[in-house]
Amino acid sequence: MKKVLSIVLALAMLFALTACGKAGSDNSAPPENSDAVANTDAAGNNEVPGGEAELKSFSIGYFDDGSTDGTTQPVIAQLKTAIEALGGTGVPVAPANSSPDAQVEALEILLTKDVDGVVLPYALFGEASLPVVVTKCQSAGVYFGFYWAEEEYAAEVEDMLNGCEYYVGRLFQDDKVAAYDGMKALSDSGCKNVGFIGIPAVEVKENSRDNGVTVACSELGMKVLVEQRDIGFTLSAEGGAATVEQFLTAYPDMDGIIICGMAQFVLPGVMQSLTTLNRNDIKVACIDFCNDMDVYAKDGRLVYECGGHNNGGAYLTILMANIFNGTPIHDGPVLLGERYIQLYSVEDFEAYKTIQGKDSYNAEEIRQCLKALNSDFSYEQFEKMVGSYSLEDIQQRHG
Amino acid sequence: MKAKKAGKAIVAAVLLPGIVYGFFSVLRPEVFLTGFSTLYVIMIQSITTSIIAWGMNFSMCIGMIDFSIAAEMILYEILATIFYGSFGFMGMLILTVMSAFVIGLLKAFVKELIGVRSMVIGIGLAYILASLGEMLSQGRSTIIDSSATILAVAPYNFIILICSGIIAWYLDARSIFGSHARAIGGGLAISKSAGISEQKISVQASLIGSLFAGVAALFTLSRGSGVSASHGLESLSSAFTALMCIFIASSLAKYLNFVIGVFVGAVAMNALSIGLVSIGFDSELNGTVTSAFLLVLIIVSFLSDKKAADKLRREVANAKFLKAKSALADGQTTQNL
Repeated sequence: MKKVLSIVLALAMLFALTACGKAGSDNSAPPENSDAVANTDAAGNNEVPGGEAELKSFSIGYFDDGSTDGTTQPVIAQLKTAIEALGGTGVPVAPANSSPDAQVEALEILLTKDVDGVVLPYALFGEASLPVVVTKCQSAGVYFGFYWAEEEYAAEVEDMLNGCEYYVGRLFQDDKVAAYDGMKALSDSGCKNVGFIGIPAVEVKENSRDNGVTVACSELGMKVLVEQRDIGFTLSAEGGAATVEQFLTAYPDMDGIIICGMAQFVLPGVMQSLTTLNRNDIKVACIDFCNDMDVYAKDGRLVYECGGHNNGGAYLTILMANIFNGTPIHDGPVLLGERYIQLYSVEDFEAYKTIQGKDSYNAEEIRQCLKALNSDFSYEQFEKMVGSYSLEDIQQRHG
Repeated sequence: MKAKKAGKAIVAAVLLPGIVYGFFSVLRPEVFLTGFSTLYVIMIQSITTSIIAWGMNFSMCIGMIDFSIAAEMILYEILATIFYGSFGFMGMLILTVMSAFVIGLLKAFVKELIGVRSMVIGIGLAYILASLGEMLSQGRSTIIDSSATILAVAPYNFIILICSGIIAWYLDARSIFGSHARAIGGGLAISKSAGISEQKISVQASLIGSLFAGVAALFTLSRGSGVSASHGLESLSSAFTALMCIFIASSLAKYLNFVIGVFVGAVAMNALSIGLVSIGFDSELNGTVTSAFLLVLIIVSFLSDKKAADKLRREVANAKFLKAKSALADGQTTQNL
């Protein structure tokens, strides 16, 4: 009887595991050479002007570790929308962890799946891994590009990238400004002595954000009293709570907290700890959007949030889809700044709440970026689309 | 004799955290020697780790390190936020514990079905439980109202700690289950010949671990007022911290009850952690220092045990020698001895 029960329970767990699996298995079928894509909108019932077109079928590989946080999940959702809208097939792979080695291994897996292109989060690779990526993609004949990248690299890395015929380009954010603006928001709220929570300093993004914090300290007369970068603390709400308890025990004169990354994990704990310790006078500024952040803005403690950098993968997919259809919109690799959305006031947070969880660009808008469907589309329009991304831009387009 | 033993236990309980606390009191007296707020923070930061460690202990006792317990705790936190949204505070408490029972039972049977005593099973289960958490948290709010975080506030936080500690102590030191678990840990063949069912104890140990994870989840959720699904093996660091406390408790086991030893270990590690923050130590090296601290402790404990064993050996040899000498003096041959 016990054995039968064990088997039943094991099967139940197996089903649960199967349910957790990604739809990626559906994507493993090799792409066909060409495919007639019905030009319908997201609801699937309106035809796009231009009628039905013969589009090249393609597959795009990307990294999806299954994270559901307010920063990672929208990136993957927007990327999937873009791939499907342009007639492609998404091929996800989950890196074993966040180390550069694990990213390279995940890339190797994607390359074995005969994808036509890969969109990669540079922030997880780091500059040292770029030559490996270039070599692997070059020898596999696979187009590649980076989102969450940096504006500048060492000259030899830059030469290597630009010398590779399969390099599509990269999208970067101005992390230095994002961090500076967070510190400025704290300064405007009267903060002088802040605690810092962020990702390990070895990561490139953190260096840029650190620079922003350092500049703000010298320009605005602020001081970072203490730092927390230990991922043992920065990957959970409870870790955030413990961090704040330690900060305020050791530095009771602290009056602000800047969270330069990992806010999606620690923010609820940080806020709860401030409440428990009766220190609601302390202001908080964050980079990376979180679920439920409007709750903290409404009680006046969260004075700045910066995020919404969800579109890099989708932009790269647009560039690649045009190449695959024989209508590239740009000669050579592109270098574009992807804009952050910055929220300061309660009104900003409430406005963002109305669009949170939805794609920044719907399938209809993305299809209009394919020259095969919209012959008027140009690189200048693409550049304008990327450059005009903001909260207002989304509100205007989506009502 | 009893008073001497109790005195030793008190010294052991106070000495380790006391040394750490004293060290940082010298460096930052304004933080560590003004009022009880620092001590209070250290105590409440030790609660989650202690409860998880107590839960892990029974599986460890029978020779299986269950790393999935931290992932399980995060899964229960996510379930708790869902239950809170649908059924309110009391619903959250009752349904979370019930979920811990059901999932714990399921997990225990899966472990039995696989039938391999390896920490790899725990790692595999950690992956599965993390995936379940991610699936459940998709598109949901994973925070609870401040009004529902009462369990993290005194005196409720200490009530949870003390009740969990008493249950862990009873199971460990007073129950038949505890003695059977220790018997299996001491020698599987002998325990089997004594009629102890390894499967039964293993399922019970796993289930008890899950229930402790459920309680830890309710407390931890209240402390952070929210939860993020962990992916992959991100939850392992929490399990490792609990494991360190179990090692510390083991090294103090000669003098101190295991349940108290775990809490003493957690307090010492949190005192170290807060001390490092207070002196502005690089937070990325915090884990390294904590591990080094544990290593030193284990080495000291090992050397101390070795010294005691050597002393015992010498005493036995000496006694044998004296006995032989006395026998010779009585005219017997050493052969007869």
